[in-house]
Amino acid sequence: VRRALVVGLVLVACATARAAPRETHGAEQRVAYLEAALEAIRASKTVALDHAIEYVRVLDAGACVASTERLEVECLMTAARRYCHGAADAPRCHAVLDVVIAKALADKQLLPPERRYQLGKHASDPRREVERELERIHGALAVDFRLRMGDSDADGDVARHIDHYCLVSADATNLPWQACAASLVWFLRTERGP
Amino acid sequence: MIGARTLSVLVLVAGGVAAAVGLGALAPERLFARGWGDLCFLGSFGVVVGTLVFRLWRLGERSAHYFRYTTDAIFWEGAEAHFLGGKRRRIVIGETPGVARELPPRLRHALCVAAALLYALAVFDTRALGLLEAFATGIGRGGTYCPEPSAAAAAAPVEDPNAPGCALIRRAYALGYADSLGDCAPDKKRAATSEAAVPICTLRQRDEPLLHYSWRRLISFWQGLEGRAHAGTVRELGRDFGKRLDHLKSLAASQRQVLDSAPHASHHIFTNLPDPGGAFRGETCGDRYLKLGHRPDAGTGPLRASRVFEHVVGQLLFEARYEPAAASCREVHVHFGAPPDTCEALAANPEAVLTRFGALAPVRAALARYRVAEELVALGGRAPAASPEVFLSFQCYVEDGARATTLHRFSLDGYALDATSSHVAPLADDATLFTDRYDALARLLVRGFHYGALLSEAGLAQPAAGGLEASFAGKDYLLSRLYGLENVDLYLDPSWIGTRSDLLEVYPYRKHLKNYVQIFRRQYARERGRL
Repeated sequence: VRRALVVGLVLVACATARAAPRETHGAEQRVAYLEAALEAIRASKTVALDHAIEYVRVLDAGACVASTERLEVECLMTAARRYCHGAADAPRCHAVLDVVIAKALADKQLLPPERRYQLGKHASDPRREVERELERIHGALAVDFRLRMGDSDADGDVARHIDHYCLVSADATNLPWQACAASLVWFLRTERGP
Repeated sequence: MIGARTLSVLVLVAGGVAAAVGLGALAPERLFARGWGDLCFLGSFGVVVGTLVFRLWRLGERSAHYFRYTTDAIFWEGAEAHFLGGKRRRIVIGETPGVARELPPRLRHALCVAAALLYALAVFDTRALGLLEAFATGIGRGGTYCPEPSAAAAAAPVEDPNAPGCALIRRAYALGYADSLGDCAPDKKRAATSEAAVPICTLRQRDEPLLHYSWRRLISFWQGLEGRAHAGTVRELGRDFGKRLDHLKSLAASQRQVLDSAPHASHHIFTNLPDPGGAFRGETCGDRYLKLGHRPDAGTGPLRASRVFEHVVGQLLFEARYEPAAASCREVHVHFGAPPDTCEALAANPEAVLTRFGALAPVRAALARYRVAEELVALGGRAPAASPEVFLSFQCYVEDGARATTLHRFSLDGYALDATSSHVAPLADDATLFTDRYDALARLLVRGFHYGALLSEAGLAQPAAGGLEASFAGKDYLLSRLYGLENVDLYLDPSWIGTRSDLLEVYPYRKHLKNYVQIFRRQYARERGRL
């Protein structure tokens, strides 16, 4: 009887584990992760951030170009792990790289190729022109965020507000949650934040 | 005894009222159909013309004559004379200024303006105002002179100096290394074609005397008139007039349908679900479904299924976020609370069922429009849809768990129609994913609707559930990982993502929902439409 009970308990445990898969993006997990990302970006030096941006930009435009988004992301994540391997504060490095990758992919959605082409067609420095336009879009998003969610500056509050804002505004802006969150985390915690 | 000027004003007003009422210009639907611009123009016309009439005819002054109704025996008194009537009852006209009754001059002025306004309402319809506007635009455009030769030359196409590879070949030819320019040589044929393509300018030449230009215009007008005014043309005009006369009833009906805004289609969806509150009302439909959320806000309670149904139908047919709506709100009628066997009853007795739901009038109005359009094809009108099933459709959406789709054929007013009924499982209380509702309703609205891997934005290589589980198991790179969801189309296969409520919250709906709606509308437009 005892053996049957043990087997029964194991089966029930297996069935429960199958019925309720492990959540990775629940509301609390998202907020905690954003809070860590905000802290990581703020604590990082500008040189380190610039270096991370350049690293991701080069990979995104070269080695990690893929036909599907999923493959590209996997490639970027693998490269980012290698970049942070052996870093003094590895968790912070991973958080920063995650924001940088998500922002780089968001930039592609915010400024599609045809718009980039238009901007660069008559500009003497097309890359600078594109950067300026992206800055304007991120700034507009941050201003809308501040107007709607208030101007609390504690990491916990800001993370909660970003999560809520990006979920609610997805219907209006058509911006994926991760693109919205990465854009806000970056803009609010770098020197350019409002 | 009434002054002649006052009587003239009253006659003018009466004539205006008769013309406006007789021609239907005062009908509320006609007045509402006119835009603000039209009404402003008509008001200005009334003020200007009414005031001109008042001033030029001196209707503000005292009358020199008067009119009087009398039944007295014939007795010519003073300066009176018989004007109208018989021996017993008659109207006489007199010449004694100052004794007649007169309306105050300001009132007469106001009546003149009102009369001019009424005439304008009766005479100027929207088409006439459009023609006037086009005429004014044409006058203002100018351009009576031919363009300068330099301008014409600038407009002509030139050889592209940056054609790929041509610079080197031209250079080689110039230095004597090549015998000919080959493909880079100026294209003579194209040049000749472009020269021939430039139309001859018949407007006034820059150095042409006015008299010569006028004479040229007169000759051209006369030649045109000679070409048109022959017996054949007159016969053709007569034949055309006769043809129109034969179809006068249809032409009048067509005009009436335009003025009454008769429906161009009538699509009916019957469902056993209760009304969620104000859904699909003609007055609010346009605004209510202009922009919907990506996911239905189903809430809880007995109206949950109705809210999901409303959201899905609104998104498939009316939402304008991605592209123009697939159907007009006032031509799609959703009948909530219908019995589950409505389609069977409709097939058995269409008139009774449609009358019960108040649907017979719009259906018959659409059929009448179809008949008129068919008749007007003989006059060169656009041929209507081949079959009434394009603009008349009947669907029954029943949530009762029966899981069956049936086609019922029936006939109404001699036209063969059909109704499709679809029975699906009731919505589960804990459902967070509604892709099965999208699928059921899309298949109901478009027979044979299909959404497959070839149509999906996710691409043909759909990731396996095991691979996805592994991709979204890690706790690092939470932001970047989510980009992987771009390749997961939940409208295609919701089996894996349906188990991850955390990912459903941050799923990129806009990409796949937009594609789904666009694919649906493309197929809907092939099957359904309006007259």
